[in-house]
Amino acid sequence: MPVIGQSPQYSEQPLLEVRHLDVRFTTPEGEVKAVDDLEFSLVRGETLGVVGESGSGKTQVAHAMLGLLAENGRATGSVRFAGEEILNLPAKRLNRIRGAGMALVFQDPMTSLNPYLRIGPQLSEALMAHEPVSGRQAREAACSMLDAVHLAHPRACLRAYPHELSGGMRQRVMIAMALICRPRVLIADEPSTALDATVQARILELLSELKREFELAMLLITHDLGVVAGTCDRVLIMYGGRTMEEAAVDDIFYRSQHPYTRGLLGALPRLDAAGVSRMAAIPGQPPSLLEPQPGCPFEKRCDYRFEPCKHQRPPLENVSAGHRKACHHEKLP
Amino acid sequence: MFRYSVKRFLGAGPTLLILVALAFFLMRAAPGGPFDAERPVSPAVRANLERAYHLDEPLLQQFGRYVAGLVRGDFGPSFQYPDYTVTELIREGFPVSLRIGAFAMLLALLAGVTAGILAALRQNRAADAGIMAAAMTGISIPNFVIAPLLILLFAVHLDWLPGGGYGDGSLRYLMLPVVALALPQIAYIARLTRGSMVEVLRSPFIRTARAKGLPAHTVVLRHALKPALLPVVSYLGPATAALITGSVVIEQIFGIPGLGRFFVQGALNRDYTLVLGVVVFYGALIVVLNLIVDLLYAVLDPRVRYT
Repeated sequence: MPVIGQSPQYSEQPLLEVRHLDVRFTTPEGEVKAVDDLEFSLVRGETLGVVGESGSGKTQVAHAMLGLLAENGRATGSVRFAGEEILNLPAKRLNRIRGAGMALVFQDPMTSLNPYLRIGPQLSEALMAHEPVSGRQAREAACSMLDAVHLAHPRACLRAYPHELSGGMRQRVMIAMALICRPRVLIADEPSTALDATVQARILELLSELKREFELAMLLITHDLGVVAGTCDRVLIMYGGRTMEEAAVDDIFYRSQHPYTRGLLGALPRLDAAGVSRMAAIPGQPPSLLEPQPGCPFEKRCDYRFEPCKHQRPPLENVSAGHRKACHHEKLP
Repeated sequence: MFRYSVKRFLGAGPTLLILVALAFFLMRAAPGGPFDAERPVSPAVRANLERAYHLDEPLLQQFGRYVAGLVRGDFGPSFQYPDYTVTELIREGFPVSLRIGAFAMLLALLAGVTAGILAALRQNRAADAGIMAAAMTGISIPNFVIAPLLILLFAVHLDWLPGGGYGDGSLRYLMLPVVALALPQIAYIARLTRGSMVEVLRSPFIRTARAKGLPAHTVVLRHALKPALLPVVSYLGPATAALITGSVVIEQIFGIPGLGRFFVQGALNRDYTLVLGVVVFYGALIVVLNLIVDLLYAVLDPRVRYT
């Protein structure tokens, strides 16, 4: 008998399964390990939030999965999409999955659309790369996709250049472009970060709506726990390229067992905190990934640190079903 | 765009006037004159000649007369080819120069852009290093060195191509001068293309294109080529100027009856009107080409608007 309320991950084969993912960059200053032994999975219809501050490696996870790392980047480990190993596939074979099986919405809609091409061709070429459609059919599909992301004048939009659209409109175009081949997994990398606060909310609403409509599994990469609260089923907290805590969204917000997650929660601005003039912040700086530490990456900034944190890497352990954390403390007060 | 073009044309007037003035007075400042021959002519004949060509008038008056003629489209008579006007000489020499120049430009663009793209795609690998080393060599060696070397190899040693002359203007005769003229430009354009292509390939919209699952050649040709060519397009103006100066040397070396050769001979013979005519003609050509290049920019980059 299925347990009601349990995350669906136990009843189904995951759509996306990442194991032991490492991402390294060779730089003039030495090797940087941007992602360190990352592990997660995503099932149909689920939204996983990947949360971390800038430099925590969250964007590199997205790029590594689709083979989009910069020249000096290298990914090792395993990424399985619908049961098929796709990490480091040659570009030709990866192209079948890029856009069609797994699509990406990038952070900055200003620079992620080609400024030299009209919107229409940029949308339809994505479809034509994967499906045997005519140019005309692709244009029609592009038009209805723009309609699906609630752009007011889809036909006019198709003829526009990116610079003729506002930031919010451009992000809608990006989303339409990502969904035009009906992918099963959508990776949204900070989809609302570059936008105004009011537009942000609408884009997130749109993503949630489209997720239901297109039955997407979504990987939502963000630095904003506030974004996660309204959109995600599960959350993975990253720091220094490693997983700090992973749990259902309620467990993260109400039963967090990791000092870093608690720090992030404490740093959320609160409307009811009248009289407090300064925003709370975690003291210190994220660690330099150039000098890997033997212990916990968060050790230097952690209020709860004790001897083992300095020398020993805390393993990712189960707190309860579906709730894991990497912290030497058995239980936080 | 039309208003912009008109404005630019009007703005070209003063530019050309300064050019004419500089060329006119520099030419006159050079020692000697058009009628200093090895065998001196009698003073009476000389005075007659000078009167006929208005060389007895004050310099400023001559300048005014020349500019007034230019405005009417009259480049004046040649001093050395007594039966020809400068206009006729330009009409005779320019098609030859244009043929060589146009072929050289075409070759420079095709070869330069292709080599630049290939180098960018093989960035920091052997092919890239090879192409860029060749380009650096091409830029460093002046064409008056390349031309004799080409003649030595292809005309003297291999005997494949004629070592000079224009003949019937067929490709056989054009080959060596065109290559000699184009080589430095190929090198320069290859370096420009490589640099901008490398930069464009790193831009976020290229990552987007790859994330869509587009094949690599589509990403390069449809998404990256246009922005990568912008610096090349803006170099077309200077490239034309370089080809014109280059042609002066190349036509001399290969003995091609083009405008460049008229120019050199005119300068040596103090054929004032011929030299001035060529300078003004080429000056106007460069001004017009630069305008076309700027307009081309607006065609390539939809964000550029001229008003």
